[in-house]
Amino acid sequence: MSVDVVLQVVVGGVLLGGLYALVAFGLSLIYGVVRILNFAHGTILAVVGVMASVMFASWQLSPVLIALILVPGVFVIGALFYRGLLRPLERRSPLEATIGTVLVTVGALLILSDVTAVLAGPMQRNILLRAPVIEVGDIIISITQLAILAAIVVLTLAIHVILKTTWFGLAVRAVTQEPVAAELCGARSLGIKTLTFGVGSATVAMAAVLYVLTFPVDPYMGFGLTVKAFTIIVVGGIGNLPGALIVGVLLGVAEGLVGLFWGPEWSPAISVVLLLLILVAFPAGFRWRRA
Amino acid sequence: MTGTTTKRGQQWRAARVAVALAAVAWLASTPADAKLGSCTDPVVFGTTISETGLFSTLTGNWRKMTEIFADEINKAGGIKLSSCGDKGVPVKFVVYDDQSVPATAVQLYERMASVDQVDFFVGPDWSSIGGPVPPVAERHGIPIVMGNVATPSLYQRGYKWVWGTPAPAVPRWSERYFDMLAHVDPKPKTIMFLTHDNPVMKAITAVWSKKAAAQGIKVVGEEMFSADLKDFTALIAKVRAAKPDIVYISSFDNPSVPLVQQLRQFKVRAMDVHHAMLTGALKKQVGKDLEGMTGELTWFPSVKGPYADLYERVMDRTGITMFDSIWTLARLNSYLVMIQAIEKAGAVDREKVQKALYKGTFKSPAGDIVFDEHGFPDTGAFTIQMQNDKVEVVWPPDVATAKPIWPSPTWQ
Amino acid sequence: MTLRIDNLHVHYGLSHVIQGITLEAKPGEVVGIFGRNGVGKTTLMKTVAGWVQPSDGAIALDGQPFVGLTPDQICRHGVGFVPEDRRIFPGLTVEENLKLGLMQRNQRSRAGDRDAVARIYERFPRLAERRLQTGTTLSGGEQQMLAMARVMIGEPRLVLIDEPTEGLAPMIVAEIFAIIREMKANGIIVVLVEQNIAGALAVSDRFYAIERGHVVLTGDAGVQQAHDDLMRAISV
Repeated sequence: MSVDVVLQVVVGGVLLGGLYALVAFGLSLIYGVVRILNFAHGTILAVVGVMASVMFASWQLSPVLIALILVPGVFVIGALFYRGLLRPLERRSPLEATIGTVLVTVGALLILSDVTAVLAGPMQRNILLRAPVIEVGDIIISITQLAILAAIVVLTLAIHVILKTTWFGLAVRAVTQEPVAAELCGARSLGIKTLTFGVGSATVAMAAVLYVLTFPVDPYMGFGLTVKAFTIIVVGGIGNLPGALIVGVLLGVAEGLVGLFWGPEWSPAISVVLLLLILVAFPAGFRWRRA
Repeated sequence: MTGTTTKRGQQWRAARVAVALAAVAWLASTPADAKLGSCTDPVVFGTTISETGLFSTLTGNWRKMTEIFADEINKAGGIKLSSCGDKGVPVKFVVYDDQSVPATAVQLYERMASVDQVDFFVGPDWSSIGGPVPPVAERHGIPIVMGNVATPSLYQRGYKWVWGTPAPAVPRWSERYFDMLAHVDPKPKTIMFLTHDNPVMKAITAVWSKKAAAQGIKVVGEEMFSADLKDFTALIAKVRAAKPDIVYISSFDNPSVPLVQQLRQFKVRAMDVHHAMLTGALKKQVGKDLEGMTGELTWFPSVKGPYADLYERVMDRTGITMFDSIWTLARLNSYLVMIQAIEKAGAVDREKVQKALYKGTFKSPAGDIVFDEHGFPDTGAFTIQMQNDKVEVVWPPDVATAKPIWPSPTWQ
Repeated sequence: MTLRIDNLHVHYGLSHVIQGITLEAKPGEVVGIFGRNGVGKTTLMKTVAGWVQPSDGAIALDGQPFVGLTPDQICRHGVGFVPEDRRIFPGLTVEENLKLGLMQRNQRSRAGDRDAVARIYERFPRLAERRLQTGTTLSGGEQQMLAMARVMIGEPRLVLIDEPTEGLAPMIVAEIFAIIREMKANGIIVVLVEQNIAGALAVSDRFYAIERGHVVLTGDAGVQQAHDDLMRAISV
């Protein structure tokens, strides 16, 4: 196996892993603040991806414009989804509330997938931009891939800056670490939770538009992504952005290398295997940053 | 006083039971208008279609197509029976939606056997459904000709009443393509197989990799991928390293969408990239990336053949094309074979029809369907190539609509 | 502007933790709450702060009723709570912890926020030194300072402080009582729960002794006889 082949696979893995990390950011934000495991999270990527590719195919809109239309839309829908369907459950007993949120989010997953499949068809779709490619030796990188990589970096930095410098970011970090104390300090919990649900959903929508630029989506692929995002969060740590990015990229590269050295049919299983191994080997979790 | 009340109560109860019994009897008896051996009643075919659920995308408007098929047969005089003095008897279908669920299908075939009392079974598709349905036919002694059930092992369970018309059959799938490879110039020396992890597709690779080796084309790689793989970088890196003359994709159309796109993106070079299921659905999804690729098509209107006019009319009236809905041929063949078997038997008699089907040979537009002793057919396929965004039959030369462009310029 | 708690009842499941407490405090008044462990002192604080919902009774600050409001709403009405376990945000810096305290204010401006932080640093030089360290790296005393500073920066009208000196060195204990005196001087109502009875009485104006969810004794903190009665009441 030549070095070029391995490098080519690593480049692909970094790209895919970066997208996984973006999906995980949103899930991590939402879980950290709202304490709800949103099983429909990955499905948002699937559905938005299908919508984006349909918009591209029907009206030849530029992907940037598609993102500008879909991302705010998903933000609003995410916020409404929380306010309308999940918030009312918080008044119930903790057990009922937990079961209720699982039912609501899993139900949303099924409904979103089926409705999308009925309206747009269950087949795979993407936005295929035949951008020029750069060939370095035997390695091929397309301009689209580079653009996606750049977008992932910019988005990660943007989320980082928002979390570190804005009042919203401060409140999000506070609620993630100490929900009770945050309320003590007057952090408006309903407002922050709603906003977080919107922002978390919008992040996936952004990831979705980037994803369909290289990989196809179908209405039923969401749950697999959600599982990958869970893996990334568990390993990287809730609310830990750099951790999620590192783990996401490692996961993407691991999937590629497993495909290369073992067989691509094993790639999708690697995230679950990884998660199980880590849970067994490090039952107490990781300590990423310690002073 | 109490006595009368009790008595009236009993009468009421008796009346209610009677009404209920009558209702059940009526329900059970209504659709049973088919009488075996009759020359006036229509022959009733029972079938299920996966109109909803997992496989619903593969069944293009088949309920309507089935009705139109019956209409066309009946307009032409129906099924000719020698026992009725060669008088034509109309055909009629009972159609249910099996929802792509095997258990639902089994229930529906039970229902058609005992409640609807159909004469014969036709058509169920997909190995998952075609596996559990035959025992129902066996139990009731009703001949069944299945449609797209392509796994040969499902037929080898000692059934007496079971046949199928999958097209093409795995052992003949790429026969004409490999015949073409033996005749093209320059000759391909190496081939690599990329296989979707699925029983039928694995069977195709198993058969045709052996065939390639026997023909002197070296197999330089066999890679498998799962249906939900999106990033084919690793697999394509291996293809690029192996540099095969032929890339043979053995996959259903949908899972290979990213594969085809990424083969193009990574500028894979080869004499030809062959797709075992080059369909209209795939074309819709990958568009121009399909240009120059070869594949199989079981039948194509320009090929003509027996009953070609009937099929063309049925598909025209339904509004579907062969390329968009490649599973249609096997479905229609299951109807057609059953009709021919009844005509051979000369009577609406299950025993006689069973005898007619056993190791029988039947006409179809794509050539003769010859059943082996297990009820499995030997249907082959034509080799096609996407040329200028159109499907052209390129092999065998006697029915070809265009010459193969070799080596395929789009992979240079 | 007074705090008025009227016939308050709190249940935790089947246990009746607070059984009709009535309490009043005026601006600039420090009220000490005493009693043995588990008599309901902390529950009383949490109920006022909105963490626990009462089963009956009324709580009002300045005539504004609290019952049914969420903790963040109560907080915005000018109630600061320094819980026993301090609830410092472990991963946030000292400065970020203080900024969260600012969220309690109803009217804010960039300049006002900056001034408020600057004033806190002036008052607590230790915190200024550690402004970029995270909460977990602070000592217990520093954490307590931060918790109190985080409440003060929000300009509350009422501050609830639960066991602030527990486990701290004498020098820091003195510092904490000094902060409470400053709060009093600024016209804030302080409700203080403390095990260090002598120290607490020294800063308090009045006290309440609680036994099994009831107020068993109230008195004036400045009167020696009342001290003796208190010691007797809570050591039974």
